Amino acid sequence: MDPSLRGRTLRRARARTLIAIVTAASVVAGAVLATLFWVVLTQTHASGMPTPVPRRGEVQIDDPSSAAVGPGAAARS
Amino acid sequence: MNVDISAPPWSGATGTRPTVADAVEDGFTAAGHAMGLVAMLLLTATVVLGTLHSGRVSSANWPRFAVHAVHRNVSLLAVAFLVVHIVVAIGKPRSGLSWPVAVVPYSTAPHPIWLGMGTVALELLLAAIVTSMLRLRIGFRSWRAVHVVAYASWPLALAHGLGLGATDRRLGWVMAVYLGCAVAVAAAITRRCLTVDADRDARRAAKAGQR
Repeated sequence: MDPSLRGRTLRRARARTLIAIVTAASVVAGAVLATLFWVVLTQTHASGMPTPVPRRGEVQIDDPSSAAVGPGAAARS
Repeated sequence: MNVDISAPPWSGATGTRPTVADAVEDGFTAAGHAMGLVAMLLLTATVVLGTLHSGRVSSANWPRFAVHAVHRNVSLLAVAFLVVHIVVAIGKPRSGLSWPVAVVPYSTAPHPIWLGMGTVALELLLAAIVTSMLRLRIGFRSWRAVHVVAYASWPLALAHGLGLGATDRRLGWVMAVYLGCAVAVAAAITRRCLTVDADRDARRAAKAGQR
């Protein structure tokens, strides 16, 4: 085979391998980024993990705005 | 002690603490936005590669056909992420969106302009793909005309993302992603405008000879 033709064939084969590698890398990078973005955005959009809805009359001790928390709570409630 | 708790400040827009349904909805919202962001990144890569390809960029390791092949593969991947983005957005509980939104632009009540831009961007992308598949049948001029118009899908997609993602806009890293996309496309277009490809004169002479 003509050496220049052989060199061109080899370069084309190498380019095809590179195309496959870059395409596969794009798929993996896309999936990884989508997962990463989803995790971060879930925390941004969400108010966190599902928590039980307080029943009417139930005191939330972790809520600083609750009338039943802080000094003078008994007097306020 | 009987304390009435009404609309505590940590509650969401619904006025209640997050339930499982809220968490699912938030998960869908985040997934839709994440897929949209990745689609935007891939669309940017598609535009950059297409612009480089039309500027006849190549090297010993990266011949032109390789640049073109990656441009084609990345564009198909972008459409795949776009489809998931649309399915998640419409399938989201209480989304208020229906399937015609995906094909008929400006047909929905909430955010018709921004959603319509996304729909048009998708249709332009699909038109580019279909005409590329039929390129030998429809001829180079028709293919090129559609392909050039399809580049408008990038700014439309950017406007769609920026216009709709009110929550995401407040996040610095999301804005950095959009800014990075804009810089990459601006750089590729600038390079394309400033570069005179080596075979331009030969192509013009061949065109003139055909007339």
